[in-house]
Amino acid sequence: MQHAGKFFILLIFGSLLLHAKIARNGESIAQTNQPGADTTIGLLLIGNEWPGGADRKRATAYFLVTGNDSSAFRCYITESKSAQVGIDLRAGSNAIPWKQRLAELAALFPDASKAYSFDSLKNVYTGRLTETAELSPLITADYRKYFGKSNKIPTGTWINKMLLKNKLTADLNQVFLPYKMTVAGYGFEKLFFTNTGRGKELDGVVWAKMQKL
Amino acid sequence: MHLQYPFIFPALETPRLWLRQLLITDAGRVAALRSDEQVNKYLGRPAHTSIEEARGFIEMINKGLEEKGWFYWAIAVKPAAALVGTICLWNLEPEKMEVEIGFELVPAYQGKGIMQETIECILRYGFETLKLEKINSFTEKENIASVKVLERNHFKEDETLKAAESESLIGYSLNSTTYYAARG
Repeated sequence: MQHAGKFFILLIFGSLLLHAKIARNGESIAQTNQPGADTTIGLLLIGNEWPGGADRKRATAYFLVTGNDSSAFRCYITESKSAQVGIDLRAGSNAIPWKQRLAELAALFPDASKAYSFDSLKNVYTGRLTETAELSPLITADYRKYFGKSNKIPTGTWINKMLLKNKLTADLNQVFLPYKMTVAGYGFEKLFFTNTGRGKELDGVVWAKMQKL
Repeated sequence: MHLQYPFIFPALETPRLWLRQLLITDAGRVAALRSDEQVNKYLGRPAHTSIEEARGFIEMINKGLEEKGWFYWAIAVKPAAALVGTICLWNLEPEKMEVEIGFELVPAYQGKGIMQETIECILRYGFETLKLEKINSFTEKENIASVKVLERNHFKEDETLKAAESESLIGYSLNSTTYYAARG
């Protein structure tokens, strides 16, 4: 991490122990938060090392730490000066399964939601579609179901409808359900089909627009 | 007719600007551009972008250049090479010779004619070198600056595009006939 040296790292121990155990081979969200495990939450307090500092009130990265091993999956939460909250999910590669990312989120959110008002959550940035691990081919499969074999990307309205019925939406809704937030729609940029190790998949930058239930 | 893609990325030059390929070393500037609330205001884009994310974005763009024939230029003001904005021709429909144009500029460089100079250059490249038939653009109704730039360059509201997108977006287009007529 380029700016790791500039970040102030806090590892919350003791009373903030999460007591969560996240299986690396992926367990369902319901199996997280099991008491007695040695998993803690790591925080990176982000300062002006990040661009956009003029518009940002504060930002924190949350991640799980098990023993000496910190997860590469980071949940960045930002609050703007206009009190809008945004979440940026970042795994860095496809090494961490999507299912595990959801499990880690479910473990991180109880603490994160105390520091940031999820009621003010406006968007969840999920990054490039092809970097959502095993979810990526499922999104492409849904695309094919809706739009056939053509690689010509339809208009945003149709993509939005497709994504709202996709597992991406179902998963985000499930993980945000305890906070009474739901996916209202999607924003996206530069959708296209690209070659991945799994074949040709839909790629592009995507973010979910959130609203209160 | 089909698009003839250049073998080497087309770096372009105007009196005040360099228009060059987006590089991974632009990540910091790209992150700053994509984190600017004023830039994001009409794009609905989350206003926080890490350098890591910007690198991923640049990698994706360059993959699009290789695989899909996109053109995505970094705008730099001479004599510096630092990125102050971007402009792209993408979403190509080679059979129709039709593309979509998109552009953004950091606020400090807005209102100085930079985007006008950039668009003139890109339209010239698109119609005269690539031999495009039509260039489309979508912008929010309230994005007055963007609307002005498009209209100044002879783009007209296009009902066929309007119907396809959300109500808050206006579809504009410029065809080659209008472009050459305006050039005189």
